[in-house]
Amino acid sequence: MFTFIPEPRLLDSPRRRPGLAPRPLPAYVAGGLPARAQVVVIGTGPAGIAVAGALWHAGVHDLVLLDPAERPCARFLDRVDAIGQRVLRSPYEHHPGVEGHRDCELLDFARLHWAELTQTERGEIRMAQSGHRSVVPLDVFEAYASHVAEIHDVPQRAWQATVRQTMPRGPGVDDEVDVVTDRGVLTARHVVLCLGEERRTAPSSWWAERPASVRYWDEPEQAQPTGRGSTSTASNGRTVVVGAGLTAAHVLTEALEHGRDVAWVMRAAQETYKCADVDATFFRPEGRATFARSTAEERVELTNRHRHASVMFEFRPLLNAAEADGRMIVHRNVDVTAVEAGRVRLSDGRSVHGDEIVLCLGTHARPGGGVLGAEFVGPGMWGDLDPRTLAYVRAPQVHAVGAAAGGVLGPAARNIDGHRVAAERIVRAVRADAAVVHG
Amino acid sequence: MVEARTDLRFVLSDVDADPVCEAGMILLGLPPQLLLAGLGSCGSAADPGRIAMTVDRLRHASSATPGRPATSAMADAIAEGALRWRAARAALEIALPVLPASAAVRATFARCFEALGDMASPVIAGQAERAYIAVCWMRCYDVDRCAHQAVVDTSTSEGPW
Repeated sequence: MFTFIPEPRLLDSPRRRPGLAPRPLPAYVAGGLPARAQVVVIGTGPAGIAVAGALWHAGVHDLVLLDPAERPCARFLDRVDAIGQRVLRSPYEHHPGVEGHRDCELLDFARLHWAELTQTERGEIRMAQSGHRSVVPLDVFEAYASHVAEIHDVPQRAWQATVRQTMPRGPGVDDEVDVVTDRGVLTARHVVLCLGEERRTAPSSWWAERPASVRYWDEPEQAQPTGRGSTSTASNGRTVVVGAGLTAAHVLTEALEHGRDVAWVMRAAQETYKCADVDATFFRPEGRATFARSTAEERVELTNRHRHASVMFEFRPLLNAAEADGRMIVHRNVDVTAVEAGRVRLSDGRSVHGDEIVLCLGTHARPGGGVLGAEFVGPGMWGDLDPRTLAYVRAPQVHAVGAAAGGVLGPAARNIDGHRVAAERIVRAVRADAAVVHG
Repeated sequence: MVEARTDLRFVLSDVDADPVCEAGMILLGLPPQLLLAGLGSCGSAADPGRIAMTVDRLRHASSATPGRPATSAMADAIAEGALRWRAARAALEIALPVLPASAAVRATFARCFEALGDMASPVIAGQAERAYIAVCWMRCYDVDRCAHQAVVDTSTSEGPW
């Protein structure tokens, strides 16, 4: 019997090393929005730049990207930096670049920056070359994403704007979509929603008013800076972390590193350590085909079964040791019934005390990204999506990428690799539609 | 530590590999136009990896898009690379008439790169150019044809690449 326990050192990649700093890109356009575009992509995260790259190579250049931030993958990177995450769980073969056009792919990009990598990171590349699991340093991913954005003209086509609503004008071959933003309205033939996921919030029953000592994982701590891009409250305090996923593991580890005691509260009977949060089967065409053959009810069941919180293997020795030596107390198999100032009440009647309570309850995609009306999204967990175009059946010019496309692409939809699969289908749809419109 | 009887074909490459060698392995897989463009972009640069990324940018910038005319930088780089290659080739015939033989491509590149260390400027201006020339020499059949086309018929430099 062989037990695979990857070493915690794989989690430690340097962040913001000068040799891998992204090239400075032009800031997104701050001026007035254009009145029209063939395609509007909402969001310039990993999904948005994957779509932009695929459209670029398809010759679709009448493109506008919209994002409240001013650089590619800003929210994505800010989020992982907020919890001190240094490597991605997605392996090297999952990246937002374009395949089939000789563009530099993520693994080659990393190898071309060999001198900037640590021994551990180089070892991960060799693992990836051998077809084994790999983790990608955040520095490498950020520099690569910036490169992908740059070569496909993302900064020149991106406007800093917040989208309030997308309004399809109705079904028909000449129909368009109005995109309402805080900077004005523009009209597009196609809109691609690349909005990512929102953090899951606590049930309203947990409190009447959120106590000051309670924060969500992506909110800043209210304390003195301590370096490493993070902060810490008093070093001898106690942090209570609610949630069983990778984010919780990062918050726990950060607190332990700062000398704090921690309490870990989870609904699961036992924490789960896994390489990836999605079964690898779903990344392969046969896995997607299995999903596609399933009924709507089966898809929901499959997704719920495969999407439960898990922690990267590498955390296991750290967290097991902390529990064994008493620095961490784990409360398993319990629900939270209430959260008060300095106290989390559990379903078994106990309370867990701490001067800081961090809620790591996961993320979720809103059908229609929260900017498309329910009447267009349709019923069900994901709405009613056409599997060929990833467009909403009731709004055939509005496409979904990311977890919102999970009803078609399965659990892998929310992964970076799922974005590329989605982008390919959307590009085909945009080109086919252009051929119809222009004869 | 690799045992003497280990079949080296199945041994993972060293993590201590020279960055130039790691980049060289990527360059060996590129089409000859991109090798010539890289050769034409090297100048006295030290890092062939950075040059490969520069070529990736030039390649994309050579396509016109609304609001951004195509640049000729890629075609210019290929033409410059073809000239550099023709200049280097004559010296290579003398300095390294036979490629160092090895069953491993990585080892062939490393030996070729090392052997080129004796070819001083102006034939080789920097480490990046040395890496590109080593790769071009290993791929000389394809690169010769491409360089010939680039010189006698500039229209072939219009891409797509």
